[in-house]
Amino acid sequence: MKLSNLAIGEKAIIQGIERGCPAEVHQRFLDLGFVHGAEIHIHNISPLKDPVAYSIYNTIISLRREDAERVLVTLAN
Amino acid sequence: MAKSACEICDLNASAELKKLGDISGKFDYTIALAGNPNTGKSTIFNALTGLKQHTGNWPGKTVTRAEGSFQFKDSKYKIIDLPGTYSLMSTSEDEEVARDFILFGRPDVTVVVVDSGRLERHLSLVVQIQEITNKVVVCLNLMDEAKRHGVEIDVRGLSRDLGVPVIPTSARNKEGISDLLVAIDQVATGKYIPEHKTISGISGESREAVQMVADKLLSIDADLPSPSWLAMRLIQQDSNIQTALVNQTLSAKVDSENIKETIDLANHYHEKLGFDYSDNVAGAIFAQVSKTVKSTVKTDTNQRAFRVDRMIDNVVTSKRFGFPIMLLMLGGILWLTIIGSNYPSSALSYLLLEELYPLLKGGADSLNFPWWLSGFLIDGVYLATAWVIAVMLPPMAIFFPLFTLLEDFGYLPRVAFNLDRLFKGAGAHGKQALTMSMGFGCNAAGVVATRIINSPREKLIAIITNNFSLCNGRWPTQILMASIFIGALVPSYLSHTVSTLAVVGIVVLGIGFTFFTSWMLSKTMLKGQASFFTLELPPYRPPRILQTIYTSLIDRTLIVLWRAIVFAAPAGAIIWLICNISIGDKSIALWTIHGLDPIGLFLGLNGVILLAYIVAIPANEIVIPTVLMLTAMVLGDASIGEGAGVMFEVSDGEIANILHMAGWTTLTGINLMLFSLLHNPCSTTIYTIYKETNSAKWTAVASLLPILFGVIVCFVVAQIWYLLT
Ligand SMILES: Nc1nc2c(ncn2[C@@H]2O[C@H](COP(=O)(O)OP(=O)(O)OP(=O)(O)O)[C@@H](O)[C@H]2O)c(=O)[nH]1
Ligand SMILES: [Mg+2]
Repeated sequence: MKLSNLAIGEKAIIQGIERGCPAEVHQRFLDLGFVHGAEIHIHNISPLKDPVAYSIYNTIISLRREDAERVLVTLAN
Repeated sequence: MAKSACEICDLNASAELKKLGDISGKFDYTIALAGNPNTGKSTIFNALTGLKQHTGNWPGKTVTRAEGSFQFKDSKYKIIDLPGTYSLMSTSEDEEVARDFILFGRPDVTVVVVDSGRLERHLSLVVQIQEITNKVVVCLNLMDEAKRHGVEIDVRGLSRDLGVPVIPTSARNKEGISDLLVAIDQVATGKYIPEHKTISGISGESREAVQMVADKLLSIDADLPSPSWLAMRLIQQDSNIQTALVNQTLSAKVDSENIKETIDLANHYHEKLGFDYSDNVAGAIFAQVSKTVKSTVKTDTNQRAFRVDRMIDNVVTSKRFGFPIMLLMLGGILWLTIIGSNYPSSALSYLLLEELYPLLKGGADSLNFPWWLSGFLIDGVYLATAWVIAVMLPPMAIFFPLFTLLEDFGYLPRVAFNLDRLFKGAGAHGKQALTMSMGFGCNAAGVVATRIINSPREKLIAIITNNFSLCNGRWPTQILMASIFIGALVPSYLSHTVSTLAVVGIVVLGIGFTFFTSWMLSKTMLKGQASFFTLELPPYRPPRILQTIYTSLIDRTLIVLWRAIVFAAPAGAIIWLICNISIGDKSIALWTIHGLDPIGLFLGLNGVILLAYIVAIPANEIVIPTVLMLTAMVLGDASIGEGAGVMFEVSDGEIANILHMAGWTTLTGINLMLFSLLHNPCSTTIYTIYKETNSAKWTAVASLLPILFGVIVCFVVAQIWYLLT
């Protein structure tokens, strides 16, 4: 499933970055720790619903919806 | 003076630290400060050099490299504060500065500053840098915060695992700096040789690819530094590295001929492996780091501090309170500034104008100065300067510390987070909220800050619209006009509140223009889609109030004030001259004012205001003094002003009287507020825009567009006003 579909309170494990996004974007995701196996959950949502701040590796990263759609995750149990 | 036992103790290494500031000369060693954004690099830099790099709790505060120096034991060190970088593999403008210096600048020691509470991500940069050089010292900064968050680190174990010195510090409290110095010294002088490490765990084909390309590189030059890292970059088609090899920057033995085959091979692997390769490398790095962290760090994720951050965020970015709180903060800061600067402003003008000015005049008379010399120096240069100090100093001395407190707390990135949706709708970058906020202090600083925006299109939009952030130099105009013409419309107990609301209204209008102009530009001259953007929200950090007030007074307020004075003095001279040199029966100033009057009235302004804006191009700060001085001259009433081209001292009430006498109405006041928001940037900002864009065309657009808006808005308001009255 896509990271953008994650709900508040759910924990997910990152599977990877969607193929077909530009190389810099792909690399930037990796730099921030969006690598296979990383745990991620929603920290909070901005007043206008977009962007959403995610907590990953103990840091808080905000992503716009269309970018969060590029991250593939599975729910952690 | 007697020294305490601690100060003379051998173990007290900072006793041997001499901060040398930015003086140049010969250096024994070069030190680079690298690390992810917002880890305290600039704070450490300041502690070592005694310089005053700006620091702030948001990623991207430092955008250019700064150099300083210090002496420790017998060696002199040059130290470079680099912009924060998440990795060495990305190619954004500010991050490239850092990467290129580590690679091409060949520092003797690279100090990697990491956030002790977030090692899982921060150590991945350490691992990458170790791939380039073994001369690394890891600085575990923000230890105080990590402790508060319940993070426990086995420092020795970590050092053993990484193979480099690891020094825990709390830079803001100056803790651990002396240990850091000792480690830097040992690595620089070769007393301690850190291990050479490479990234392990890259799997299968990707590893083979790196190996093959690295071998090829080594066959050309066996002494090439960090071949496997170069190989990794070549496989990712990093054009900077390709160019550096072709141009012999990295090695004299490599040239465009013999490197070709290697680059072809790397390209071949790039085609074959695609994104799998990057995934593989990053995966290996993070896996390696996770292993290290697991064995050396204990975290209690249920700590109170985490929950507090979460709670604050749930309020300040919530649907219900997010926007109201932003407005409240803005209004609060403005209100405090307006209320707070009232009294010191009048005290200062009493001192400088009513007390000191007659003394100076009298002194000049007793020294038999000719009238034109004392007029030029005292009525022109001195008075303009005194006015600017009286008008500028109090609001700045209140605004800058308040803003810095908010910045240090970590609120600014939340503003960006809240506003991002709107910026996206306008086709702009989310970090524009940060550069816009910086613009409230100074537009030139806001323009430089746009370097955190990677997409050139969105960076241009941020530059062009920065002038719509009402900078500090324009506040006195707003505050005075609001109190005289708008606050006066209501009962006096309400007047401060109402004038504050009027200024907030102007600021919000400016933000509205920022969105509108961004949207307009991205539909016309700068067409395009909003680009990829990530923003890290830093943890909230309780600011150190007294220290913040002290440093923002000394560093920011005085520097900005100095700039204002430097511009005010010559402007004062010019004003005096144009008022006292006559052509025919009128002074140059009067000729111009009468010439501009029809245009002024058409816009709901007047000739004096327009001339003041021409004189004040170098600095917005002097608009109000110039307006008052010119008005007095036009009125030609000796009982008000001191004579032609003399700025006089008056209280708000008297200023109001004089302006009313000169025919000002509420419309003039309102339109002056609007025009002060919507006109060309000051000359410093224009110059900065030119330096950042390198384009006369965009500099012209950024300078002229606001005037165009100003003329249109003032015209429309004036016409509506005339219709209604
Ligand atoms: N609590 C605490 N705060 C610190 C410490 N060191 C720095 N800070 C704060 O952390 C924030 C970031 O510090 P900077 O020195 O600006 O960080 P930087 O690494 O230069 O950041 P960039 O220039 O954005 O890369 C500031 O608000 C500092 O006051 C520390 O040891 N403890
Ligand atoms: Mg910095």
